[in-house]
Amino acid sequence: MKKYILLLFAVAFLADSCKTDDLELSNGTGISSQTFPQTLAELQGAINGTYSPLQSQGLYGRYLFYMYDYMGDDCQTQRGTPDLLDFINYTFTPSNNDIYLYWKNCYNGISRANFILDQQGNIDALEESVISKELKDKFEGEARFLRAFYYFLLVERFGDIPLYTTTDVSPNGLSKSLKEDVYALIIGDLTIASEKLRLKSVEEAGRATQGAALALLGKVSLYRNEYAAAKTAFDKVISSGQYTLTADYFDNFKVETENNSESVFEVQFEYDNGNAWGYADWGGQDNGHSETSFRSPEYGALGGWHNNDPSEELVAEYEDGDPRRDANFYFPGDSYGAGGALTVTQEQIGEGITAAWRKYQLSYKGNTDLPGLSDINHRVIRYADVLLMAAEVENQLGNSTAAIALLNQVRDRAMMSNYGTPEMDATYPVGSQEEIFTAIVHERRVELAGEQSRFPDLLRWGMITDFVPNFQSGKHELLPIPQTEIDTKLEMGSDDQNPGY
Amino acid sequence: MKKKVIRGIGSMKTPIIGWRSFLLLGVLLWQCGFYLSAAPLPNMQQVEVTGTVTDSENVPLPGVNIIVVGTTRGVVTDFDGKYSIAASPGDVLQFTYIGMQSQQLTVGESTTINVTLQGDSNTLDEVVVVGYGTQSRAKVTGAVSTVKAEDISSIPSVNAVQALQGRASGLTVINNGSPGTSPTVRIRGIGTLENNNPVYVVDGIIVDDIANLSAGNIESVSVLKDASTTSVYGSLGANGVVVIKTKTGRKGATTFDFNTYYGVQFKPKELDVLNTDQYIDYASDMILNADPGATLPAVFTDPDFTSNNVNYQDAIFQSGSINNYELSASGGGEHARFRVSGEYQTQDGIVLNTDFDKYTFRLNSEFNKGIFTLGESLGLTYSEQDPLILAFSVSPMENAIRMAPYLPIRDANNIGGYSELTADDINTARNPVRTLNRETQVNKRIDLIGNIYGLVDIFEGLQYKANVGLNFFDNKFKKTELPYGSQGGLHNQAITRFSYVDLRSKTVTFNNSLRYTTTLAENHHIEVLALAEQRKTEITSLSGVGTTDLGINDLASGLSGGAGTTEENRIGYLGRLNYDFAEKYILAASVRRDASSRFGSNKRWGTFPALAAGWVVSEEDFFGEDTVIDYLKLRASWGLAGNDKSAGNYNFESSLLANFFYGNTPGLATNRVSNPDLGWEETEITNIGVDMYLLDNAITFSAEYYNNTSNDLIVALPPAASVGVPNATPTNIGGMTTKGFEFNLGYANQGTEFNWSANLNLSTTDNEVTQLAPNVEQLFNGNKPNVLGNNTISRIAENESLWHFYGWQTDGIFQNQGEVDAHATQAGAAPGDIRFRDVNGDGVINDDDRTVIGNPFPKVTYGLSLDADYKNFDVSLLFTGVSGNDIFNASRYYLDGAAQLSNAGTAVLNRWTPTNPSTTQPRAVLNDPNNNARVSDRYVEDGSYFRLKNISLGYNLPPSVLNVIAADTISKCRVYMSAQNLFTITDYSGYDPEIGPSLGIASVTGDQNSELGVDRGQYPQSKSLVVGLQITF
Repeated sequence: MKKYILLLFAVAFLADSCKTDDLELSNGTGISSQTFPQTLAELQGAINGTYSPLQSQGLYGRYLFYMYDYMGDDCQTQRGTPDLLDFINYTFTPSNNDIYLYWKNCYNGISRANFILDQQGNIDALEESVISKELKDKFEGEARFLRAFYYFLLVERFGDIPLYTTTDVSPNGLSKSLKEDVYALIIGDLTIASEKLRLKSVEEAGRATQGAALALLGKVSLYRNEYAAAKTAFDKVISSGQYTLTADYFDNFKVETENNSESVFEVQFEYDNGNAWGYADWGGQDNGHSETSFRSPEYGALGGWHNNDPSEELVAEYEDGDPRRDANFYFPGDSYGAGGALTVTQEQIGEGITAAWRKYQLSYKGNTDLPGLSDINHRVIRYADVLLMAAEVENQLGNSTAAIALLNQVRDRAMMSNYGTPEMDATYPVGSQEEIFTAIVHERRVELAGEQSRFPDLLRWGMITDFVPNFQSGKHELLPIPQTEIDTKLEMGSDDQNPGY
Repeated sequence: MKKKVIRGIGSMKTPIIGWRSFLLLGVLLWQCGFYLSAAPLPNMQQVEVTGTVTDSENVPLPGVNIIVVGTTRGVVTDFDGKYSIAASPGDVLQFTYIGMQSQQLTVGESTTINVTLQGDSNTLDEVVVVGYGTQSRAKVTGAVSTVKAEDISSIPSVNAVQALQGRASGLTVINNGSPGTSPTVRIRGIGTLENNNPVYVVDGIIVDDIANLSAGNIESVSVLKDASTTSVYGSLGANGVVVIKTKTGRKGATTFDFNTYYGVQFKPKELDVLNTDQYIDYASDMILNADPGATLPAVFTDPDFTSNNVNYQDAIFQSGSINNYELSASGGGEHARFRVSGEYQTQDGIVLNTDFDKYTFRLNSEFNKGIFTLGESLGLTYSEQDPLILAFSVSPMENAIRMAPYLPIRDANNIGGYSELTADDINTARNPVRTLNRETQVNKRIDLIGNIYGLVDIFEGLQYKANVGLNFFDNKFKKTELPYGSQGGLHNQAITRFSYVDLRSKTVTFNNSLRYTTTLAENHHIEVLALAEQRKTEITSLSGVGTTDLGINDLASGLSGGAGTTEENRIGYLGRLNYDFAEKYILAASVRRDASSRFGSNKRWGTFPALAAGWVVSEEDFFGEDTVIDYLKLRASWGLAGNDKSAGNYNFESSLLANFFYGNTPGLATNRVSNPDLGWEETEITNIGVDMYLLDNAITFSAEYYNNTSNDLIVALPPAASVGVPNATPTNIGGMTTKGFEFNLGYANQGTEFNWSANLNLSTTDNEVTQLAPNVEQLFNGNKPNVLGNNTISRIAENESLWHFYGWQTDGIFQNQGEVDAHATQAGAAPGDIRFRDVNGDGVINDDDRTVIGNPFPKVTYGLSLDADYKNFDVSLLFTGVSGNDIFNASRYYLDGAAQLSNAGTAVLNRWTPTNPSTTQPRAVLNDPNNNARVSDRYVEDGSYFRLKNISLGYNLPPSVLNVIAADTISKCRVYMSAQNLFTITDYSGYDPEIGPSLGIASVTGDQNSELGVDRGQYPQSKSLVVGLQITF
């Protein structure tokens, strides 16, 4: 009898051999990365999260426009924070915080894009009723476009960089890859994205489209002097019929005309709940709302912080009567504010300074640049830029007629005389490839003033030392890799720093 | 057995046989006595002396041996502990019982002599509760300290843990004066960078916290310190284990106990701050030093203000009270035993609007029939705490120091009626009296700790046990912030704001075990245990904020808030073998396999072995007969134990954070890199000990040396920026060592009427971080408020003690511009400013000149208790103390830091001025351009103290009196008076050198190491005076 009892309890004892399934717990409150995605909303959320670093302080929320504009010759100032003035003075070091944020925010976006692309198997396995094939393709296209976009920002400024294609890495991350490998990934991603993304006409405003992927692919190719590839991409954008230049040049810098026909890719900024200050990405943490931009108060002279004035050379570059001059700048006596009720004074612009920025300033409709942070979307790629880049490609390929025609599309919108006409030949003749190039340099400068084009243009054209005296060849082609990146990485040392830093 | 060691005649495993032999002996003695006394006629009139013998918990003791000293007359007590013996006045009766101190009493006028026998701490038969079982002290090979029930209940406390202070070596309890706030408990110092809380086990069930367990319900506390005792808890054991057994009923007549006490707590000492004239002088100097042309605030000359002289410390401190009522009944027969108790405690704190009420109910019972036993223990507690409220993370004590003394407390023009400083005052302190009255919080908490168990004695020596436990709590916080201040004022709030948190936790434990005990060939004692255990925990939280009072039970929509659930599951298997040969050679070995959902998929299971051996040298033949040493045991143990608290739930995986908006739609992003290798922290524990009894057991001595080497400590590895995620990844990479000595020395003197004993315990501990991570040079407390101004206070770095204070070294005061110029470049320095040492010698004073400026860990922690009784009087004293630690007195940032304008300590009266070339106190200057107030050795003070924690004097009403009051009803009535914290010897200048759990850091689950020894105006402990009454009937 006792033996049976023993047996009974021994069995009970072993039966308790607890279920090891119980050990497989995942966070029930948050969304677990292990089971992602379950719903369309989750996948949509992850895509939105991949866009959001664009709005952060290190990128279009604040420092990107400073860095590019200050390093070119479009502006002048000695105000602003020391970290920012480092760019105009070319005194930045590896510990510059704005470079760190630029680096970090780009990689935030890359990590989020990689997270989605890592889950492609899970996503593909979801039923058509949960997420349709068309949406799956579109989301993949967005992730690839954004990954390429962020990598392009990085590789252009830092050269060889860590190249992540998955989130399955140690916290210590990866060491540097050759920039050619980065470009290969960018081109591959953009090629796939241009096939999977939707056309602008059917896509929600603010999202990546086929046209955006192709325009960026063309730009990447142009920057790499791969003109044939660039031409193929730009031609597709132009022939898509999705884009036209707006009648009014200034429509590209206002709230009311955001995501217009000229917009190829733009970063969305919104006042959420009317509290613009609360929705800025203070400190570049990118850990929440980063829905407004510092552009207006930072550059603004009419109540803004006035940290950036247009350079005298830039203002002088405009031909007489070019309406883009008045669209881009305020001069003493100009009216501004609601209903144009206020008048700009020289005192506001500053002693010895010709003009203040008007582009992207809220004072076009308000009484100051500083009613709060700006909700004006940042146009990253405009169709005018595409046409000018296409003109440059055609010129490099020897197709001068096509190049001039493309240039003149931009001239026409500005209601300025066309290149190749007698009145223009006096100042900007287009009889040779070199002359057309000079016209392109001019046209890009006046059309894209303060739009972060001049610095990379001068750099790739090999002309920067002619215009930017602080620029040191052999050093300033690249920014320093942030010191924190080197410090936190076991396999990175000072040898991995870019030359000259 | 050769030595005179007090031991039971029967072995512990067969107490019935022991009783029987006693009974037999007793009967024989009684009969002898009868015959002997019948023969010669006595010289004196013999009377029949009767009485009851009980133990210290008033449980009647059957089988107590009573003899008339010098005669052979003797009796034993009956089933109800009653006896009757013929004796003459002047005869001495001796009462002896195994495991108890024997007592001698002289027969006087009274014919009733009731006796309470005290447990004998020297005895090797003491039953020590250890993990998953009990052991006799003789067989203990590990490091276990025990605390007796009467020591725990001798100090009035609303939290039983408070009373453990100073009672056990290796156990550090740091109390805090705030009513209802749990103390910090550490076993053998500290072994991890993260969570160092020990594990608590109540009646065999692992629980999170014993804050609401009542002292009166605790029968014994064992503190398990070494691997051989803690590694049976596997991945939980590394921080040490506190094992608690609650009181149960015993066979015998039902007894009732009623205990009550009432105490007053006195206002604490106040710090010397400036009066109004001194303040205005100081403030004017400060303002004008920054800008000689500045206009002084108008209030400085406004007689409506300058005529006031308010000491805000006076206004926030009050005298408090503590009150307790406890009633219990216990008893039982052969087949059922019970104990039931109820308790009400209330404490009003010494700071305005801080108080605590607690209702405790407990029922323990056990039933047996044949081979089956079923039992349960169930404790239910409801408590309400009004905790100390901080104003924007600043304690009322600090605001009280800072307030301008010219500002009256009340201002009828303000909403709510309290004054506030304005921007014109420059001083930014918040009125602490307003904070304490207008911002109130109540925490309503229900705690349930219970278990039910079944035992089956399958056959002789083999026992099966199943134990199911439930640990549940529901803690509801409600904070109400009433409007205050005036529109546009510096400090104001126009609306009423309510915030709620409802936190619930439920843990179900189920363990099954088989235990086999046998003796082979008379001397080979073997005990084998096999156990399987499963634990499941679920914690849910709801929180909300709103402007309407929806009631604490209704977290409805309309409140913006959040909800969360977190779960953790564990499985463990344990095998243990205890062996001894004639209690001379003792061996113990155990191994536990543990798995936890907290660990990553690659490291889910861990193995935790332990080995221990003991050798009772005094039992050996070669050990001489005549030495002073009665008993000598050497013991050693080694093993591995884990700590899974630092891992946290789900931290091995990344999860998606929301709130990354793009456009108006929410976005998600991963928060960290997953670490499927995340596991427990592991500590290798080596312990060597010796136990000695000397001089006929009058002296007991034990010593331990321990060395804890922790590996795989969790360090949150910050991701490289290019990894693109915000949060650090917890990784098992750090290491540290903790080592020290522990000593216990006891002396007991047994007399006929006067008994006294003394017990000293003393512990040393020394820790060092041996490894952080290859790319982590130092860790500061990033997201916890361990900062002062713009500097962090505490730091972790390799080859240094954990959380040492880290800052600048001061080097006197610049007396003139020449001295400033001669010194390394120090931004903002001017004559009268502090000269900081150029530690790295680079000619610039900057962050790199910070260095180790203090260590919060005491070198020595000790407790000394003295107990004596004479006739019906008893007296006991408990001294506690620490030595060799530093305190970072952050309150001095305000008192004499002069970082900004606020009221200050009187030290600033001696501030540097061109005419008063002070060498200790810098000049006062607004905005502190030299950053004189930075974290520096200025604020580091010696934290050593020696304190009379408790002194009590009791009187047992004699039976003659009891018989008059209520014949045969009351068996014991003791009145006592005690005082706590009567004096403290310390050089520390703050309120209280015992810096309890830090303010401003979540105390619900968060660990508080990083603020260790940082005084931010902590709630001081007060002196108190208590009167009490204990009745047994």
